[in-house]
Amino acid sequence: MNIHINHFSLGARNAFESAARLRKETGLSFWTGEWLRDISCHMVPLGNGPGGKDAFIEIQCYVDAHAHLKDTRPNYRYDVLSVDNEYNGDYWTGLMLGVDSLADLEAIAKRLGADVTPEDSRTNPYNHFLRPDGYVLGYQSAPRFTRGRPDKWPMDMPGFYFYPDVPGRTSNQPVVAAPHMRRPAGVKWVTFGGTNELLSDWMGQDAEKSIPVRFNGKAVGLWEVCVGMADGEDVIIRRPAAASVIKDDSKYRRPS
Amino acid sequence: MPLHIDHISLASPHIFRSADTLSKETGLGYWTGEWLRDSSVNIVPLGPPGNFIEISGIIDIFSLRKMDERKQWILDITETGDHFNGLCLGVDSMDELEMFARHWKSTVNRADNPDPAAHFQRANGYILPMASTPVGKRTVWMAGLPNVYYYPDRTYHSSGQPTHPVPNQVQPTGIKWVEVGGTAQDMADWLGGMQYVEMLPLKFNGKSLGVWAVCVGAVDHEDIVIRRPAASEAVPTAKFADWRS
Repeated sequence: MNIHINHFSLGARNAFESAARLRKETGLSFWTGEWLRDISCHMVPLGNGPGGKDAFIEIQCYVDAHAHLKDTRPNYRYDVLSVDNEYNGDYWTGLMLGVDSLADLEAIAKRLGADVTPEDSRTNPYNHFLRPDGYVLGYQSAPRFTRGRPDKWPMDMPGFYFYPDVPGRTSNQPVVAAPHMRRPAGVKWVTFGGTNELLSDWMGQDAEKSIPVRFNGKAVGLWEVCVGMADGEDVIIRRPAAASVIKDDSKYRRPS
Repeated sequence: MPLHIDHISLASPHIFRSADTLSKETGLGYWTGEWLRDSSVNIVPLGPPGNFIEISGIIDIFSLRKMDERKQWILDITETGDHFNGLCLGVDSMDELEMFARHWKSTVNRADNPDPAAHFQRANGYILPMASTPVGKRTVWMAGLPNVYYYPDRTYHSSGQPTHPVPNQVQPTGIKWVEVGGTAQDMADWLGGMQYVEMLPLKFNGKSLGVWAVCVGAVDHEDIVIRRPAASEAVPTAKFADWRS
């Protein structure tokens, strides 16, 4: 099965500030206006390369203060982003892998004892990422643990995604032109916490042979993304992994 | 052009949902990505001579850990949905702006403040130079009253930036009228004379102060009337009667 890097989620307190700061740091620009329920994303396309197939970073922040104030459930992401760090509270909150067919996605879900999210983007558009031009992002993901995630898997194991619409892919949308903007040429490697054994067990195949991943043995989750650039030196984006600041994730898990 | 309407602020609990709703309701397009500190605005250009609605809301919920009166007001007026919360007038020179500042015994928020965090910033890195009056501990919006702006460079005025294409998009031709609370005399008292009120396409409905409706012309389309309650309906202006302090 061809598993590739699809995208990365970067949690931010303020995606507008975070995206502007990331662009100053790296030259990578972004586009704006996509949202889903109580979050909005600034999207940072990373170009096309052998390690990442049209990969992108989604810089996410909450944009519905009232929804947050009314929600009394434990909120893993909010608690992570509440912890100060040198990046104004930015944390990597997800590594998302991609597959090339729904059949592959279903096979992964079945192997992990879970489901695939339904494809209801036409009948339930507000359950999907929306763009100002009316485009509804139709993708499916797995695993969907409707009865809780088994304890053996840490919170921040990567999700798997199938994007059927390549022209509509987030990575293929034009970014805002800005001073000192650079041109990305794809993901070269990523650093992930934990071990190759753990991630391989999750992926169902040798992770190091499937994607350009390195392991640092720290908390499970993304730590670094290296982006090749068409116009010069590689860019390495370092942010702490979300799990690095949550010592006990048990209260965030849905009972199985 | 003397005193005119520059823009109107629409406070929103969720600026993307509100922009999506307004777009579907009216066909008006909008652009995204402008922000100032803990807030962002989705901008709805209304056509010539240069008006717009800014759909504004809090996009840094972590900033609420340190609450202040302004943030609480925004939360209070958006708890039940969108509310118009600001009528923003414009003048064409710094001299005119300073005249209004003197009238209000106030000063001017200067456009050349060197701190970028004091200005709206756009996704392309542009920092919006904008001067306004009056200046105070509280914005006069909380009292349902308009403030006045001067843009030293209108090249990149918010009303002139391209929108995202939206389904069934209409082409706006400018504000035809704005319905506000109170009376013409209330407005004349605030602005310093009835001559200023007569420069503005305002209709007065006698309700609590603030904006209640905006009528926009459009090419090959009936006039578009956008009705939302004024912020003063959610939080009475009497709460801020001591705003001058």
